[in-house]
Amino acid sequence: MSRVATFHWRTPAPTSVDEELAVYDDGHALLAVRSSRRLLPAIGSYTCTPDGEDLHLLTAAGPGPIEFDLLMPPVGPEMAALMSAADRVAATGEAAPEAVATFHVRTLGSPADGMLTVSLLVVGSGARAVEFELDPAASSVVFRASGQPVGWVDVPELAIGFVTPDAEGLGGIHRRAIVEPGAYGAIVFDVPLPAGSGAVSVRVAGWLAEALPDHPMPERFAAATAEVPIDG
Amino acid sequence: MGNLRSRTAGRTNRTRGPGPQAATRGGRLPLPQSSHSPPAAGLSDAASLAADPAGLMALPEVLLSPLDALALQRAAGNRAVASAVRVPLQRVGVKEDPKTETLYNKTNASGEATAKKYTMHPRYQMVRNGDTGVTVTIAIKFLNQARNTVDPADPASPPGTPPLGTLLGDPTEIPGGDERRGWAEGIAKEAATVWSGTGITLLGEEWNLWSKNTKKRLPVTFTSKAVYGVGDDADATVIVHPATVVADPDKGHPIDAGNWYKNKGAYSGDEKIIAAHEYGHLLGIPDEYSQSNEQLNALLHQAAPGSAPSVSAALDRATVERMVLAALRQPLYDQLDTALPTVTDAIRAARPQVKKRMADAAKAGVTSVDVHTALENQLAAASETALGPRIARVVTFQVTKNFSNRALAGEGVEAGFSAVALGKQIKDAYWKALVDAGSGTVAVAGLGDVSINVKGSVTATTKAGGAQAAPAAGVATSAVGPGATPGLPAIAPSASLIAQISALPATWSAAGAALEAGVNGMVFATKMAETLRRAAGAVAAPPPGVAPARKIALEGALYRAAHKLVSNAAREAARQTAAEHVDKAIKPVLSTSVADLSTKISEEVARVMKTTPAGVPALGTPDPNMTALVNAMKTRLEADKTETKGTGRDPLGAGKAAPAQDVTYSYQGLMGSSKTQAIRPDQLAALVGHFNAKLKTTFEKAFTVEVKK
Repeated sequence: MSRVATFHWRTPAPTSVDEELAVYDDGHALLAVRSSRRLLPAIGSYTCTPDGEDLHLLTAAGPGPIEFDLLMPPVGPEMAALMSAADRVAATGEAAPEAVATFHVRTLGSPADGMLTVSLLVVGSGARAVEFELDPAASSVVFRASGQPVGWVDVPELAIGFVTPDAEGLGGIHRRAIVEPGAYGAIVFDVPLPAGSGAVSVRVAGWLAEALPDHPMPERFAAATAEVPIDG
Repeated sequence: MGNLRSRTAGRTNRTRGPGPQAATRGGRLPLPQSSHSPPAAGLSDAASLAADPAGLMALPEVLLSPLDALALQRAAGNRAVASAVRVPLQRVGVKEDPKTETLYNKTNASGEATAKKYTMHPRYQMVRNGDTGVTVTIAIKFLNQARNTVDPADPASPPGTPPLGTLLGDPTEIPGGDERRGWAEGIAKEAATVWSGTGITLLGEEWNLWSKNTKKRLPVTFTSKAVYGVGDDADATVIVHPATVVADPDKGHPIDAGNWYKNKGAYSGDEKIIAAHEYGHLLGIPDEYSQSNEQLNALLHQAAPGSAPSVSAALDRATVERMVLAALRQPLYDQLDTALPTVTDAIRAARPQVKKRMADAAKAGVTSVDVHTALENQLAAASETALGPRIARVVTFQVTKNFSNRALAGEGVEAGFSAVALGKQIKDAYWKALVDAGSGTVAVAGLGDVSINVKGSVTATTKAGGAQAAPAAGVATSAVGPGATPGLPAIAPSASLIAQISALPATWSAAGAALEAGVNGMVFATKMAETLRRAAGAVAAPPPGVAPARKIALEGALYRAAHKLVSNAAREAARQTAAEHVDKAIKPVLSTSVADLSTKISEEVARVMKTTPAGVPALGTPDPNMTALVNAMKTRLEADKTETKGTGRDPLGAGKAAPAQDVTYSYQGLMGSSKTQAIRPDQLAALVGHFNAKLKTTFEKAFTVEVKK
């Protein structure tokens, strides 16, 4: 099985969308999501099933990689048709996670002494384990009130990665986290709480590995959890 | 004096800002503002600007002819005349012809960057407040309009369905009291604040006949003004989508310059920065990302004309270096993969000493107060209240009599030192080091930081069958070391990467070495306590769809739960400690190896592109593979440059060709990558030009601009 075409959806910072559709010579395709354009708090890979017409269109485009800049309109009808086909194929992956990590945030207890205890959760889904490493220095905790940003703080240095309820380590700090489908784990840490904050979310950043079979190397990812209210 | 005479006497029909030139229209000079100031409200009203298309405020006049003014000037100097004629507030509307720009922001099937033309419509209002400052205001009209969310490719879509995201029908006014109004106005204000925060100041000088010229500093404040009427005059229009509509590119709702979303979902973009970037376009400043080499050179000549030639040459060398490094990344990684067994075997051979050290650390760490407390807290939360009094005894038993430090430490080390785990850890770290080395920005004198973006067409040359595959493989083998041969010990030169990593474990047993510092009771206790704290968090607040665990009700179950938690946490603490020990050991070696390679590339690039023939012998005998790679990349860059030579910053706007490129560049400022909010004085040339043309008085020299940051 070898790759015959590659398509990237990318935008520059601060949106930093990064999705890659890889089409293989056996007719199947994988979508690697490193920074979702669908605004999902999930990273990983999805199995796509292109129909014959789209497959023909995509493979005929050549090895590429061809990049789609989401901030600018496609150039000409041919590129527009190619982008539409790639979009359709990528959309088929929504219901078929291959190896996906979904992030959530929870607060533990009420704030005390100006500090909030935050639990960052990861849940694995798909057909195989998702593998990634966190970059705490590039991650942050974001506080909002009435829908408006109030402030943000860095994720502190972390002594250990994600841990299951049974205290089994999933990894994620200084080594890859390997999260099997259905497994979940938490990272708990304390952060100073900006005055007036009503809700919290976490911007998770790191490196996603093994997203595509012919590209096991780690590549940068970013995802943001949905926000949750802060008790008390 | 001669200059002054010609300026005052020579302009008889100019329609400029207030001052002697304006006065010549009717042979009268305007009155000082102090006695006839226009109503303040009118100054901020966009409608009044529309009624004043020349951009000149209607001003009252005073009986002072040009000759009178000249006489006063001769007698008392410019300052006296200026103070007699100046009004504190002058406003002009700036509306430039549409400007085009060329961006290499597309990629073709060969992986090269291709260009497209874009258009912007600069328009704003500029107010001079005497000698105290300048205010630039952009009026933004916020409206309501739906977008098409039906995919025209869907067989069920009606015939003639437009592309996803197309704005449908006519825009309508956002109702008064709608929360969108305040929200959008806030973002627009923040965008302007970003610009005000850059510290832009206009620097000028007023001529004085009998004394030193008066230096002037006019700080520029940027503001925005929101308007909501469909027919209102504005400099830009933005559709604001209500909270009931979630931004989602797949569903026809991408966030862009003309469409803002109150409900961003989990979208992490910052509208403030996006809006600030678009604010720059309304000031007439083009994008500075996805630029060809020719475009960046044109930018260099704009920003620092004096040093541009030498800076361009240095940038070309840096570009070739990045091209070579990018082309080598995959071959280097593949070579390490091939040679990996040599490395992992060497590290795995050190397991006995690491296990022994870890067992001692576990024995000391497990009895720490932090571990004890974390375990008690978790068991208390997981158990029925009736078991509370027994928890302390259970914990004490599990961390003392029932704790097998050797077995658990051994299992943790085995997991961390497995060939698979080590292989992933080492390869990941090497790949990140290679990516980091090739992705940092370069400082370009006179311009600022610039990222060099090497396209897939370059990396494709070293893939299997590629034109540079053979020399790249040669360089990779030389840098990393030979691959492992089944049944035979690998013989790697001592300078190679695998030889250096393989030599690391021999240093671990020395007193004061990394093993002693990184594997001890305190480190182990911290990791074990943190593991237990995370487990408690996962139990207390599970993710959506996971039911809370049932409480432990029986003492036997409590013992079993405690045993499982202690064993798992200790195993994980050992594994993490082992992984971090390896991480700390290998990263400096990998960084040094990549740095050495980068140095070799730089030396070869300098030899090929810079060194005079006389200096070549001092550089020694070149590596023929490295020479081949550098020459190949230099040839590609030169071909790109030749094809675009003389096409300037906006080739497509000038009707010229814009051939595909192997490399693009992005300035790391507000109009480039948006990674910083940096602005340069040369970007404001048009704005200063408008000021000098419309708001500078006759007695002032042309203003220049200063940017603080």
